[in-house]
Amino acid sequence: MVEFAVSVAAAVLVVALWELAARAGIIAPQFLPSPSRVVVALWTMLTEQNLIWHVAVSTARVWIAFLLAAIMAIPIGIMMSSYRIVGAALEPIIDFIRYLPVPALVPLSIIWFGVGEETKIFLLWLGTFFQLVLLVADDMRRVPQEFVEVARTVGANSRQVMTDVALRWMGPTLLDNLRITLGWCWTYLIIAEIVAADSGIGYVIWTARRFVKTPEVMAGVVVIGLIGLVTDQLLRLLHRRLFRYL
Amino acid sequence: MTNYVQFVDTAKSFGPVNVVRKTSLGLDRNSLVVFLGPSGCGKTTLMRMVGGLDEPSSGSILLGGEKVVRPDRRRGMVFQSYSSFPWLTVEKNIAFGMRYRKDLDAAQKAERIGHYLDLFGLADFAGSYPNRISGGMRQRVAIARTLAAGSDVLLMDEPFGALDALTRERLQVELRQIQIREEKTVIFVTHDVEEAVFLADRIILFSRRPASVVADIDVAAELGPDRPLEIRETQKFFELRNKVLHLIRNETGVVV
Amino acid sequence: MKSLLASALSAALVLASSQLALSADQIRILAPTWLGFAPVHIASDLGCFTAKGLDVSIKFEDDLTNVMAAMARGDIEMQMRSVGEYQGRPRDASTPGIIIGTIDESVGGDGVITDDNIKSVADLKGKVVAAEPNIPSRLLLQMELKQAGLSLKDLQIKDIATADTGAVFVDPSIAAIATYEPFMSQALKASTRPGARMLISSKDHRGIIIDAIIARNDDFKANPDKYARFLGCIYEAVDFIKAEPAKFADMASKHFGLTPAEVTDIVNSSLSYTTLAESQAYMGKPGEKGTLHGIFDTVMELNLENGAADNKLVAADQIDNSAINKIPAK
Repeated sequence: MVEFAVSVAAAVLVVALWELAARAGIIAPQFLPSPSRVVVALWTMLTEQNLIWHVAVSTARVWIAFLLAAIMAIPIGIMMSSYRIVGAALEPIIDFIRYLPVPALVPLSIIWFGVGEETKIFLLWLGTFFQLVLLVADDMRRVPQEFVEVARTVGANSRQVMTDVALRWMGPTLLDNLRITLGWCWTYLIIAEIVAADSGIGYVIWTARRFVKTPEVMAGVVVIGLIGLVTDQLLRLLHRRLFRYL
Repeated sequence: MTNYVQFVDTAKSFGPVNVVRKTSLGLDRNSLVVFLGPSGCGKTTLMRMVGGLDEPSSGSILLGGEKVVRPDRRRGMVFQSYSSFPWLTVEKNIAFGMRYRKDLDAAQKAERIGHYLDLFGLADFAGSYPNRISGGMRQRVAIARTLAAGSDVLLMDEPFGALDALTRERLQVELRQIQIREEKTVIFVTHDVEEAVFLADRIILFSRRPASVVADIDVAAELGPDRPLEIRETQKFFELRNKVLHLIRNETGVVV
Repeated sequence: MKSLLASALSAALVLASSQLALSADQIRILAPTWLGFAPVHIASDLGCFTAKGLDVSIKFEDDLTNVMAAMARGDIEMQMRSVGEYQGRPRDASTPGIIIGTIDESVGGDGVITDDNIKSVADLKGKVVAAEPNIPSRLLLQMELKQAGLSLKDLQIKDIATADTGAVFVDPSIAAIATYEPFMSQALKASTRPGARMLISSKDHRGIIIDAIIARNDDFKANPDKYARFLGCIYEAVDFIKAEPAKFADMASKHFGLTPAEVTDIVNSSLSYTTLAESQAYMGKPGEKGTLHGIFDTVMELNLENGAADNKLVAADQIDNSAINKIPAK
């Protein structure tokens, strides 16, 4: 309870300082609009510019890309740790791709996937998958050998060791890693949604930026932040629910 | 049954590192054999090969005359750490031992779980997760799980190494009682001489790596099968302990 | 809650339906986020495309490379961009794209800003000038430098993103910035530099910065009539914009996330939509050259000189005035 009060107080303080700085005119409003102007912009966007719809589009894109990344990264990451050959084959490639700047890959992804949804999903996936797969591989590597051996001595086969021991052990860190990479996925939203865009919060921000509507840009950024905050808290709650034994 | 577990010219190396020298050895059924030796000498590897968790580089291991090729539930492991699954309650941890047994129905499994919960005094903690119980309790859970699995041979890798002295003593007494009552064969790896003498029917003393047998001590002949706590204060125990200590110092050149 | 659910549902539908099969009368357009292309939205809102059996969709894409990739892949039938940018790397004679009309020209929308220290273009010699590569105002700067006997090489050019104009202008080591609206006027408004002003403006160079309507060659060849219909709608929309500026502002505001006042403000201060007659004059009569051909060559030369383009393109191969001359004059 005390922590919650402190969290709120800290947030209020930051906003107050921001408002003060903006009002004092230290920084031109074109660069830093006051929070109150941002709130007004947010309201206009909600009531007149269909912001909810854009948020829904973005959320759908992020989750589709994120789930795709997770569905692929979890088994591949596990394989990389379980079979040395797979790890040796994939790890250097993944390490290489992981460092490539996603924006530089946009034209290539258009050549592959066109300018429709596929490219946007692909770019979001790109920013998530390669990070996640290595995290999963690391998690898998950390499964204590003792647990695996205990399971094998009570008659578990490889698949059972995987589902009944490795995945159970990985559960908490896996969910944490998913939570963190979901956050990364959101950070790629602008890159993905300025490609042949006509919808999504990234598009809204970009258009506002093109016309120097800084309060709207900030409002868009705040919306993404809020979505992140809420998602994070929900996943933390899920974590507590699922892993009561921790 | 003599020579229930048999090492036949068993040797093991990991790559260029020779860990276990060619060893031949027979262990009796329903006895508690302690593998004693300096840390990292290869005694654990020898035990793991009985479990089928490591494969001999040459030679073989027989269990009841049958060659060991892979792990199965006839030989259960109890480790020092990560001995019980943190995501399962005490009860479910014990049940895990029977998870893959198709020969028991639900009622039989429940009955066995109840039996081992009672035997180890865990009934009150049945619904607790391992991080809510003491280290001693956790090792009891691990032993109970192995017994519930129906293991004939218990392979114990310094299972009490991380416990405080009092808990450790209590568990040693319990293990000895249960081993006799449940008629199990136990291979117990430790580097603690006191523990070895108190628990063992027989101590196999190993050299430094690569492990080879340097002494084979028949403790049961000296101390008998029953091991009440007081036996530690007897002259016989004392002499035996000193003898083993000297053997270790002389044969291995290492003070443990 | 209900509206949220409805929004989520329609979002899912959009995602699902965005890949509908291509029809013969489909025109998919990519254009930069700019009001110069608003006639497309207006023609659509007025129902002209539907009336003429066209299925037109426009999306914003600022990055030229991305647009080229999309057109090369056959994902779009059309792009819109200034002639100067259009010529930019890595285009060569075989790259898909052919200019079939014009939509607007820059009138004050592009320029170079500076302060008191710079009285004329000649003063920029040896100074640091910031500009994004391959933007129209860079060409304007280049032209004026040429007239003053200088070239871009006489300046220290720093690459920036145009959206950062305002922030970059704060740095006193930057003597001038080649930029465009609305960043240009925002930067001037926010600046405390003495004598902050426009040094060069596209207002004084009418005709140099023209946004072209560019079709994909294969589709244009296969369906010339489709493009004639499309152009007809565009110039109808331009006529509407000129006749009903208030209605236009209201309609356009929704597509660009602006207020109607902002739309009017930006349009008046930076651009002029080209009417059918103006566009036909640029494009030329059938079989003849228009004024755009000359502009194309001038700009080509500048682009080759400053390195924005690698390959000399021939105006006659890049401009096709057949479609625009099929539109019946009113």
